[in-house]
This record gives sequence, C-alpha cells and structure tokens, in this order.
Amino acid sequence: MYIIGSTLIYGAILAALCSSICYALVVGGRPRLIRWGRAGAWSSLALALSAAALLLALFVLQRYDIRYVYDYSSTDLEMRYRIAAIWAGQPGSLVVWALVGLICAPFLMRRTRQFEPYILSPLMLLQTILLVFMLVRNPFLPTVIEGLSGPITEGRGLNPQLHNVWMVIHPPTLFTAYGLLGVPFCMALAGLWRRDYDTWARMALPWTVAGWTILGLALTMGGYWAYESLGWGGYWGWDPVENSSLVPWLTGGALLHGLLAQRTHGGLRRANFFLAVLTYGFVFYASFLTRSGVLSNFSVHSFVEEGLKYIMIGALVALLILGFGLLSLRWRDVPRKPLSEAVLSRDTAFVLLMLTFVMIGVVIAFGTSMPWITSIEGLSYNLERIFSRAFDLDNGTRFGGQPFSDGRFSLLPDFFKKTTPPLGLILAVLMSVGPLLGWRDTNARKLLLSLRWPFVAAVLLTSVAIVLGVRDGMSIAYVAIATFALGTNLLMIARTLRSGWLRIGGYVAHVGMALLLVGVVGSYAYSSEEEKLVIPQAETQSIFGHSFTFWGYDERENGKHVLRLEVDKESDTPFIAAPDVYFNSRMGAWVRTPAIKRYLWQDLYISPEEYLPADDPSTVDLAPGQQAQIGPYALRFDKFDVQDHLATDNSALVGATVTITHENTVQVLTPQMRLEPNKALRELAVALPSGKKLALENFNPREQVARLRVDGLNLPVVPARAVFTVSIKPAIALVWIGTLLMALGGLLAVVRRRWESLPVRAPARAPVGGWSQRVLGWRGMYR
Amino acid sequence: MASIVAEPAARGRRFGLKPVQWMMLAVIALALGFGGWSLRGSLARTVTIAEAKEASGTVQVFGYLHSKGAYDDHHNWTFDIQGHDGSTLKVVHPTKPGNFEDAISVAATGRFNAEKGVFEAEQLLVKCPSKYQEQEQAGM
Repeated sequence: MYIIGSTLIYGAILAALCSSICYALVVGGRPRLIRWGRAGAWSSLALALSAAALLLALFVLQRYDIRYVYDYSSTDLEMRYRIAAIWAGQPGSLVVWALVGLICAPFLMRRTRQFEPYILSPLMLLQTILLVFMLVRNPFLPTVIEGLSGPITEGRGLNPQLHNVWMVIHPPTLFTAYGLLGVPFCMALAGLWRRDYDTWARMALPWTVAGWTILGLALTMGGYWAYESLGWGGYWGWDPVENSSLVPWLTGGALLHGLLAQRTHGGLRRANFFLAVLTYGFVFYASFLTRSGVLSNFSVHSFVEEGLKYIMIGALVALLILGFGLLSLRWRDVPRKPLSEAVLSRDTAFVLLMLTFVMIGVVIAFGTSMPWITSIEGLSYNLERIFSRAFDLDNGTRFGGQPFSDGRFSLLPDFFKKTTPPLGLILAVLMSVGPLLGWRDTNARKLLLSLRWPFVAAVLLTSVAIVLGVRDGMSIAYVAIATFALGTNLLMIARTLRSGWLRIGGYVAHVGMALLLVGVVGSYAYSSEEEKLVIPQAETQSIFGHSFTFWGYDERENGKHVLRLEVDKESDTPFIAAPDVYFNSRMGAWVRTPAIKRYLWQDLYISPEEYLPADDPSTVDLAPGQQAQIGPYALRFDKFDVQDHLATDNSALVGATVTITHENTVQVLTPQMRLEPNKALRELAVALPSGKKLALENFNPREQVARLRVDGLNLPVVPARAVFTVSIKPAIALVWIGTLLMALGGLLAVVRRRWESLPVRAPARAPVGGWSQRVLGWRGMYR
Repeated sequence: MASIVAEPAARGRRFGLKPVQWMMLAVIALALGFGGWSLRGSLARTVTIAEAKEASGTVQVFGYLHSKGAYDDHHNWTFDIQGHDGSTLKVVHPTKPGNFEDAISVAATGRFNAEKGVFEAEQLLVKCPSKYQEQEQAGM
C-alpha cells in the first residue's frame, strides 16, 4: 500500500508540475505544448483522485496497518465517521484541498480561452505545492508498533468530540472554499502576466463569489458545531483557528466588491490585484497558523507541530513574492480609471467598504498572530519594551529586574470584542445606504425620499429592541443600522426584481447579513450569564423562569450517559432535557454535549458539566492495604478471603479481612458475602465494638476493590448531583437564518455571474485609446 | 462623464485631500486607534508561576498538573499546577474543562488574587498528550 499510495502522490505531483511547466512554455511561445499541459492537469487529477480513493478504501476496509488509518480510526466507528476520519489529520485535509483545485482545472480549460495557459500554470503550481505538503506527511506509511508482530486489528480511534455530523460536512466545505479562492488568485496572476487587466476580473467574479459564500457557510457551520454539540457555550470564541479563516473571508469580501466595481465600470484595477493576492495569502496563512503548531499553547484546537512549519512558511513567502512582485512589476502599466469623487456614490461606498473590510482583517490577523510574532527570538524582548512603555504593562523590572524568560504575549479574546464592533459598524452603515446610491452620483433629494420608509421601519424596530431590553449604545447602534439595512435592501430587491430575479443575489446576501447582525447583538451581547446549577437527585431548582428537576443519570447505548433533567416553564408543558456527559474510556476523555431547547425568540442552552455520584460516608471502597475512617472506626482492608466449593452446594463465600482500630483497641474482622447461583448476593455482616455492624457490600475481583459499609452510624448521605450551566441566548435563530440567506444570495450571484461570463470574447488587451488614454494622463485618481 | 468628475477633483486638490480620501484616512485611523487602544487591557504575557504571583494584570501561566482537581465550596473548579522550578499555584475556574481527566498540563490566562492566594483563570487551555495530535514516533 505504501508503495502504491506514494507512487500515486509522486505521480500526481509530477503530472501537476509538468502541466504547470508546459503551460508556462506555451506562454513562452510553444503553443503545441498546450496539449501536454492539459494532459498533465487531467492525469494529475486522475492520480490525486486515485490516491484519495485509495485512502478512502483503506479507511473503509479498516486497514490499521497503515499509520494514518491507525491514528484516526477504530473498529467501533460508524461508517460515516470512518470516512470523515480521512480529513481528521493533515494529509487527508490537504488532499481534499488539492483535489478542489484540480477539479477546477478542466472547467478553466474549457472556459478561459486565450487565458488558459496563464491561469493554469500557476494553478497547477499551487496544487503541486499542496500535494508536496501531503507527501511530507505521507498518509500511506505503515504502522510500526514496537514489540508487536501480529496483524494490527484496532486503531486509536477518532476524538469523540469529532463524532458529529458536522465533522463530515464542515472540513470539506472549508477546503472547497480554500480551493475555490485559489482560482481568483491564479486569474489575477494571469491578468498581470498577460497584461490584460480587465478580462480576469470578469472571469474571477463568479469564482470569488462562490469561494467567499462557501467560506462564509463553512465559518457558520463551524460556529454551529461549536454551539450545538461541542458545548463551548457560543458559536464564536475568537479562537485563533476561527479568526484565521475569518480573515480571508473579510479580504475576500473586499475583493468581491472590488471585482463588482471593476466589472461595472473598470475602476479599482490595482486594488483588485492586490486583494486577490492578499486573500489567497491569508488562506495560506490560515492553514499555516493552524497546522504549524505555532499557536499550540493559545488555541483550544490543540494543534501540534507536524513538521510542516518551514516548508509552509517557504511556500507562503514564495506565493506572496510571486503575487506582489508581479504586481509591482506591472504597477505602472495598469491603466487607471477614475472613480467618482462624490461622497454619495457607490464608488465611494465601495472604496470605504473595501478598506474597512481589509482593516478589520488586518487588525484580526495582527491579534491572532501575536503569540507567534512575539515568540520570534529577539523580537519579543524589544516588543515588550515598546508595549510596556506605550501601554503601561508591567515590564520585567517590576519582578525584580529580571527580563522574562519567555517574552511571549497572547491577546485575550477581549481584544477582538473591543476592536471589531466599532469597525463593523462602518460596514453596516455602508451596507445600509450603499445599495441605494448610483455608481457615479446620487440625487440627495431622491435618496432621502427612498430612505423614508426604511428609516421609519428601523426606528420602529429599534424602539422595540430597546423595549425588549437592548440598552448599551453599541448594540442599539447595530440594531438600528442593521434594521435600516434590512429595509433599504428589501427596497432594492423590490426594485431589482423587475429586471430579473437573478440580479437580486447581492441584496439578498445583504438582508441575510443584516439579520445576522441583529442575531449577533441578541445572542452575543445579550446572552445571559452562564448560571451554574448543582442539583441533587429528585430535587428542583429554578433559574431564568425555568425550573429544573434532576431525575437521574441514564445509560444509553455504547456506555453513553445522559443527565435526565425535567425542565418546566410556567407557560409551557414540561419537557425532558438530556445533555450527554460520560467518560469515553477508549479515548480516555469526557464527552459533553449540551441540550438546547429552541424557542422562537431564544434558545435555552443547558451545558452539562459533571455527574457526581451519591456519596455515603458510611461506605468506603478500599484496595488491599488501604485505610479509611468511617465515623469512629479506622479501617484497614488487608486481603480477600475466598472460600470456593462449599461442600453442600455451588455457593462461594467471599470475605474481606479488615483490621479495625477503635478507641485504642485493634481487632481483625472478616465480613463475608455469600454467592449462590441464581440468587441475590447475601451479606454476612459482623458486629463491631459498641454495637455497630460492618458489612462487605460489594467487591470487584478484577480491580481488587472491596466496598465496606458500617451500619448504624446514621451519617448524613450526600445524594447524587448533576452539575450543569444554563444560559439564555436570545435571537440566535437569526444568526442561522441570516447565514442561509447570505448563502442563497451568493448562490444567485454565482449563477448570474457564471451565466454572464460564459461568452468570454474579450480582446487580448485592455482597450487602448479613446477615454482610457485620457484616463492614463489624468492625475488625481486613486486605485 | 469625465468632465463631471474632474471638476470636484480640481477643487479637491486645492485643499490637499479629497473628501473620499479623508474618509479613507479616518477608517484607517479608526482601525489603528481601536486596535492600539484595545491592546491595553487585552495583552496577556506568558509568565512563570513566581512571576504570576507578583503580577498585577492579566497574564498567561503554563504549568503541569499537580493535583487531580476538585470543586470548591462555590462549585468552582480548582486544581494546582506546577512550574519547571517546582513551585505550585492554585488555579480557580468557574467550570471544569472538557478533557481535564486527560490533561498533563494547563495554560491558564487570568490574574492572581493575592487576598485569596489563588489564580483566578478566565481561560483554560488543557493540553492532552494524544488523540487530537499524533505523538512523536521516534523510537517506535
């Protein structure tokens, strides 16, 4: 398997590299090589598919003699998780990512005409890089376990937290988005290469919309997963891993709008090149952050260094040098096109929007990179001095003059919570007014007239929100602007529908975004505190208008356990909430899955923490040699005393020899237990000094533990308890609905742009002469 | 068309920057300003246990698990961590982290409460030896 698998990967790499080189030679003036370029791309696709299929087969057939299968799968895994385990590790996720790019290649061959070699050469190079990453972490290595000679029939299994339907969907969605966003990058390179600065933008638009939409969907899926089953209490925690995929989404949003502007009137050419390179750079950077282990102390996704750090840095730097280098080479050659300078114009709104998108991305990227930036040798100490001075941090001297041994900083999620909302507000404002503006200029009177009804609606809805309890300024601002954006974009949908339903995609996405923002305000800013409840069995406690009764700890299939909670709301019928909390002994980890009761306007979120079994102080579990105190008696369990095969019947007597110390007298007693076939266990208790009784209640021969009980002490018994937290998340449904609408809008836009971009009959070069020459000589424009 | 747009540009040049450029500058300033300002309270330095006990602000401290952990009277989760130098620190966190049983070390972010003598953690990162990550295969 190792040889076959590795050969397939090597073959795919060689074919992709060959294809890339052949395409480059086509550009260099050998047009007949295009056949080889295509053949290379097709065979690379075929080989990579075979490698993926082989990997799939190994997982399905449970070949634990393969290291990768051994590491991530096990016999008790259901089929869908056996398949999902493919992308539980690095090489599998890389092959999915590379495959998306390779599948894009044939589509690009067919549709891009004279652009084909220019786009496919870098594209195939990208796939080569990804496949090389995969080869470094070769998934076909055999399992080697020291001292084991027989066949390996069991694997180490998949982390129980990943046993979830989202594990099947979320990672491939994310990698599809990453793969798709590679296409605009390659098209940008192609545009620069060919000196055709406009055609690429038209071609890249549907790919960007698709990649961006799917990336947004993947982000929300991850959030939904975290919320609904990992029990993180929320859907967004500003974790480095989440942030690192959010950043390309933000810059991608800027690119998307820039391409739209360029498609419409040819502006923003340089900005779009810059953004296409930047976005893909951030995609690569995201996978560098999450896979290289640089953040392993700072993220809940505990990633470990997997030997890809330097090769990934190298590839990232090479990509950025290639992209930005080519751009700076062509910088003066790219014809400028003036944008409208009227404040009330779509041009202005787009420029500000793109800039804000990028600035938010930069701030988040900076914050997320903090731990590894400061971990660079020599940099940390100097940074520390700067930060200490600027922000009144404790510097090393306050701890006795010694500089820190480890000068690393990390940022609390706080940082993102403070920086993002005010900047996001700018985006929201632009989203609310922007769609109503004309590209060049807008009649202010007409604008105000059309803003009338959305304004009234926003005021009404915001008042409702204030009555409902939204109080702090930032939240009110968000609700106001988001509801305003809702109105204006619905207005735009109504207006645009007359010219065809395919054109409303963008506005539908805006409506989704507006709903999402309101949902975020509700569920994030106005989520209740997590209140912890500790409820003894059969007792009831109330919080947030719900009363909770803990009825017991129920066993489900495969050793899974749930807390059985009866939840009663005055106005509603009682229901049973059953959050999972159990120890998965195979993986050696606790599994906790929250129970969520969804109401129309809010979710009741019950996050289990622990089940504490009943604690009877009269009972004690002891292994031989152990001691314990019950009431006035000191017990030492010496050994089991077993009498098999009694003469009369098949019964056996198990005794526990116990040394008792009580008021300076030492005594050895042997309480027994009679075991008879088909009969209940019978305790044979022995009398203790001063009238109490000592009984052997149970024993575990495998673990050599005896359970001893002293009767008659009447010590208070602590009943079993359930520990869990409860919180209320208002308006969270809007987050999911908003996301779905955004995805729908994105889909519409992809269909429309794809349909529009079908007949690519662009001239080989940007039109020269006419107004474009005037434009070239015109100063006072910006990108 | 071009003449319509050229007019405000000519006027704008007299004042240095055009309104759009002013707005762009404002966005950049806002982003950098908020970013810098938010750094104030959000930086958590990685320190040793001894330093954590002296620190006045929020810090991150890393240590190996020294006790099995238990709930205190307020049902907060408490445990001890031990640094490389052998010193220990009592850490308190409102909830018990998910895979605590499996943990060998913990990175806790929070501040030291000198009155109670405990480290009040806002954030816990539990490090487990295996599962998610592959173990070093050297020698196997």
